[in-house]
Order: sequence, then C-alpha cells, then structure tokens
Amino acid sequence: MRDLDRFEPPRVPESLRATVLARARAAASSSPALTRADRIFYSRRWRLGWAAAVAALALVEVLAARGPRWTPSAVVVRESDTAAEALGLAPGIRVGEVVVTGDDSARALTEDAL
Amino acid sequence: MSEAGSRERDQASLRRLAEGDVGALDTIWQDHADRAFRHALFVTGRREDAEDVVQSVFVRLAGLGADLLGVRDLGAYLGAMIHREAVGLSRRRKAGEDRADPDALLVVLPDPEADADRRRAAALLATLPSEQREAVVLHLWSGMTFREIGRVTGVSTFTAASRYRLATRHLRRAIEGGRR
Repeated sequence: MRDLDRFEPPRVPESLRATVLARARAAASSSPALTRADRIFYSRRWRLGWAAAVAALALVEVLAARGPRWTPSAVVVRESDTAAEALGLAPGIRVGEVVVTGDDSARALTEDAL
Repeated sequence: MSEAGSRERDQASLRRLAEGDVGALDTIWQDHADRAFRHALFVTGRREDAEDVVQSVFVRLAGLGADLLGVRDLGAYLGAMIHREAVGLSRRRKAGEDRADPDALLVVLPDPEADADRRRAAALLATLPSEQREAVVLHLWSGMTFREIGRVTGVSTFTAASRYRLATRHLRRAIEGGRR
C-alpha cells in the first residue's frame, strides 16, 4: 500500500511513560517473589530433561511390545494350592494335572515333573 | 538489532522482571511501547483509549511474576494482550461511539500539502472495520507476517491475510475514486 508508506501512526506519547511505568513498578513489587519451584517449573533444561525421559520410556515400551512375548510353556496346578482349587472350578481345568501346554517338549517336561 | 538479538534481550528483561528487577520495565517500554500503542490506537481508533489499553497491559505484564518466565515471544505476547484489551474496550463502548478519530491515526507532517494527504489517508483508515485496521497496522508498520498477525489476533493466517487484502482493496478504491 504505497499511499500509506509516506505516513506512520504516532509514537507513544512521552507523557504516558512515567505514569505507566510507575503503576507497572507498583504491580511488579506486589507480585510474589520467584521461588525455587518456579525456577524449576519454567527451566528449559528441566523441561527438556523431562521430555527426554518420557520419550525414552515410550521407546522402551514400544521395543518391549515388539519383541518376543514370554508365554508359559506349561502350567502345573498342585492339589495343595487353594487358589488352584478355585481355578479347578473352571471347565476344562482339573487340579493335579498338566493344564496348559503348547508343545510336546513342555508336556514331556511337566509329565516328568509330576 | 537482529530478531534473535532482540528476542534474547526480551528474554533477559523478562527474567530480570520476574526476579524483581523493576528496571527491566524501562527496557521493555523502550522496545515495545510504540508498537503496542499503535496497535491499540488502530483497534480502538482513539488516542485516550489506546493510552488506557497500553497502561493496563503494561501493569498486567508487570504483575505476572513467575509466569513471565513462561513467555517465549514477548512481542507476540504483548500483541495478544493488546488485542484482547483493545477489543474488550471497543465492545464495552456504547453503540454510535465506535467511529475512529481520523486525526489520531496518522502523524501530522510539517508540509501542508503532505498534511492534506495524511488527513485523507487517515480519514480512509478510520472508515475501515477495526479488525482490518489492525491487520494494516500490524503488517505495514509493525512488520508482522500474516501468520504472526493470526496468532496475535486469534484467527487463521488466511483470515489475517484476507483482512489486510480487503482493507487495501477498500483503500485503493477510495483513493482512485478521490483522484477522479
């Protein structure tokens, strides 16, 4: 807008400076002093450190989820176990026997153990 | 001063002010008062209102205490405060009092011929809606990009740019009409 280039809005009146700064100084003096907690909360280094820690935890979580899952190859339920007795109420689970088995070697191992 | 340099200076002033050094207010005033006043003037359209807005914004800024440390861009932060305060003041004004005062908008030049042009340009600016005047002052005289204007005024970059475009189109038409 070339027509406006030749002009400019007025500068802030010099008389305003003293009034505004006096009131602003009063407001600044009555505001609470900076505490150690404030410094930590607003510290860029602390924030970066916190963000890096969260990112590292998220990365570990993702890597752990992508790796091979550990599953029990066999579950042996013993007669003396009261929790197992409760489990025994579930259909297909019989106390004192090998209940879950995914492969033959595990089955052989648990059978040996029994 | 480069933009990075002025930002560093702003950050240092904010830190000093948060730590209770009220002398930092002088530096902030020196660096931002003109821009803040012009912004307020173009939104409210009146010198007295602009003075009130600037005063209230500087007092609020000074009272922020520890929150000053969270301010990353003081120019944009002050711009947003000025915008909110000035728009609030304009809304509180009674209907019919919302016309801008053309004599307040542009500086008086010593040259009488140039002064006639200034009066015409100011009169045209005064006819614009305040959000378009705001886009003009922030882009033309404060050197803000449309993205920055959008952030300060709480609208999209596209809206900020279109406000400026509408304003300049209106002014151009009025100027061309005046020359015929």
